[in-house]
Amino acid sequence: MTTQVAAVEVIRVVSSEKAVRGRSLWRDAFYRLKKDRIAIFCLSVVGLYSLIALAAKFGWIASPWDKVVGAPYLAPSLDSIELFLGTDIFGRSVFYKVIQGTRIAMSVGLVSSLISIPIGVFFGALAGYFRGWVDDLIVWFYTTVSSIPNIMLLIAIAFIMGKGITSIYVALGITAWVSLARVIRGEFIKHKSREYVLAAESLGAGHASRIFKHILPNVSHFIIINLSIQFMSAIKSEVILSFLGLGVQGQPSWGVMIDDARLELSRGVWWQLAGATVAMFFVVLAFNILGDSLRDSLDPKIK
Amino acid sequence: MAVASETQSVEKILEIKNLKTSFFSDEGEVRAVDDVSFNVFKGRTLGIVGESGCGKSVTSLSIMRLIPDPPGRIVGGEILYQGKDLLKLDLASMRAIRGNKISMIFQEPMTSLNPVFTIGNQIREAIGLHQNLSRKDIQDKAVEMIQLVGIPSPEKRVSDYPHQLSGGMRQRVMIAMALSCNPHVLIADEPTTALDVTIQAQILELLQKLQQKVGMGLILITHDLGVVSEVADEVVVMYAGRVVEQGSVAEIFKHPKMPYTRGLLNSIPTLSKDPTGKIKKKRLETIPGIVPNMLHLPQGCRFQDRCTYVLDSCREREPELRIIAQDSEMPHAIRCARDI
Repeated sequence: MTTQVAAVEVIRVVSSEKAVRGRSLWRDAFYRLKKDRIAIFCLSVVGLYSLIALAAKFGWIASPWDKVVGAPYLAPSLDSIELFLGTDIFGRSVFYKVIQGTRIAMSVGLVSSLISIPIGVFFGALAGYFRGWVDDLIVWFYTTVSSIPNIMLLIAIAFIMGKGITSIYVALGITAWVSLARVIRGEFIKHKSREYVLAAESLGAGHASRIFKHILPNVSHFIIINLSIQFMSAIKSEVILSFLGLGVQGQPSWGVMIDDARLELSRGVWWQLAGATVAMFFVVLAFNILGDSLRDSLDPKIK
Repeated sequence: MAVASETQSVEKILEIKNLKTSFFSDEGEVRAVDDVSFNVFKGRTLGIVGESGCGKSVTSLSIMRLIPDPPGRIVGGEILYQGKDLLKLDLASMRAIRGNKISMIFQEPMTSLNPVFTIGNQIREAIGLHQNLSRKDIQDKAVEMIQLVGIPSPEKRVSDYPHQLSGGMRQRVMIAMALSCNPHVLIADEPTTALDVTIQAQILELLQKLQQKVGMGLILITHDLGVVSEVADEVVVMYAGRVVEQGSVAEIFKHPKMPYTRGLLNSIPTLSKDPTGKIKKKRLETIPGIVPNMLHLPQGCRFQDRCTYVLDSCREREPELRIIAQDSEMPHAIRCARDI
């Protein structure tokens, strides 16, 4: 009797599985990603940083950050949350500054990616799809851009546009698209000769439809993988630029904090450096691992 | 279907005249299709046969104007559809014909579908490109097309992704897409080559059934003469970019005149029995030699080096395509100097 019941159960399970809607490749990729525990952990870390950044943005936490909470250079203590990482030269809470730095780092990553990804996708798609002189021109252009040392270009743009967060957004945005454009161009070359594209053409689809409706969805996972890496390198670049004094002004970015720490370290004040570095370390590491895992789950063939 | 009704007059829907398509490589010009002419009739099937690289697929891609340019280009000839030369149309008008009036299905069902969209999505797109229908009508039509090509439970399958279907099912989806706008001509470029034999038969049967239903002209490109003898009404045999023999299927299979066609027919394995009932053990014949290098074609007949009937004159001058019997809409014609 019980076996009969079990059999019925099995049949029910099988038939309900059959009734499931078509399984898209995205869903497959998501299942693969879900099995990867480290990736999920990293995704949570990234999510946590994003939440902190959002909360700081709306002033729910760590605000106001420039309030004097104690004597200058108080060592970290567990007395209050403000003094968790001690105070800086003006007696402001280092912990609050780290949180505000998170906001700036995440916004730089997001905005610069939003600028660079459309540029990279657009140029890469055009070059790979049309080939010929369009390809020559675009490849020449991005080879030229990438042959200029990145940090010099960033410095030049920051100088032209004036110091500040906007110029960092723009500078990172318009220098970082080259690697994505390369990848997208290569994928377009590969996909353009695939039969499904020819089939679409034989059904009367035009250029725009073939580029955006047919090929782009097939290469879009590269955009997501690139986003993760792009985000991470933008955060690093912002820190470097701010450290060089070209970055954010009057706001507590991690780079500015590390720059300040240069003079403080000799006095034994290590907490400002430690706070900014550790915060940056975790988010950069999380993005790095996440980028790898995304590649594994979205493009399992190259694993 | 192979028997054309005598009383009914057949209507020409596609006329290919002196089509020439070349590919320009660093080493020189390859004339992949060289002066090819044939007609496609309404409701009838034309088989184009020949070995790999003889220009079958290039002919079909030329009709659709899908030759990748560069390196390829149609350098001459006319493709007349309803009196209009397709080669003179601008790209927008050509797009309106592709998939709508003239459709094509490809050899590889595994790669011809876009992997990231459901099959319903792709069929809907094919319909939406050419027909001004409401969303609901398009959806209904897509389900109807899936049903038409014999895929079970179409309402469910419509939301499947290509990787969830077998090769035969995917080819059915391709056929559904190609037929969704009721084309007048369907070009099937080796539609069954990638499929196993039982599925092959099903797909051919399906194509025939649908052809009778909608009355389109079918161009069937294949290297499988068995398929041609079963399905086609007329046959064009191509060799190294040239038409070497053409005619009705009965004529070609009964009285092949060109040595190349004979060679092709002889290289089909047969299972005939001798009078005592034993299966005859006949050695399978092959055509000796290989296809000539298309960059350096020999002077004279292109088949000369592989031909057992070769004459000295064959090496000097290439014979013209000459008509030897006016027996049907497609007169039996051969490109051969000899009468064998």
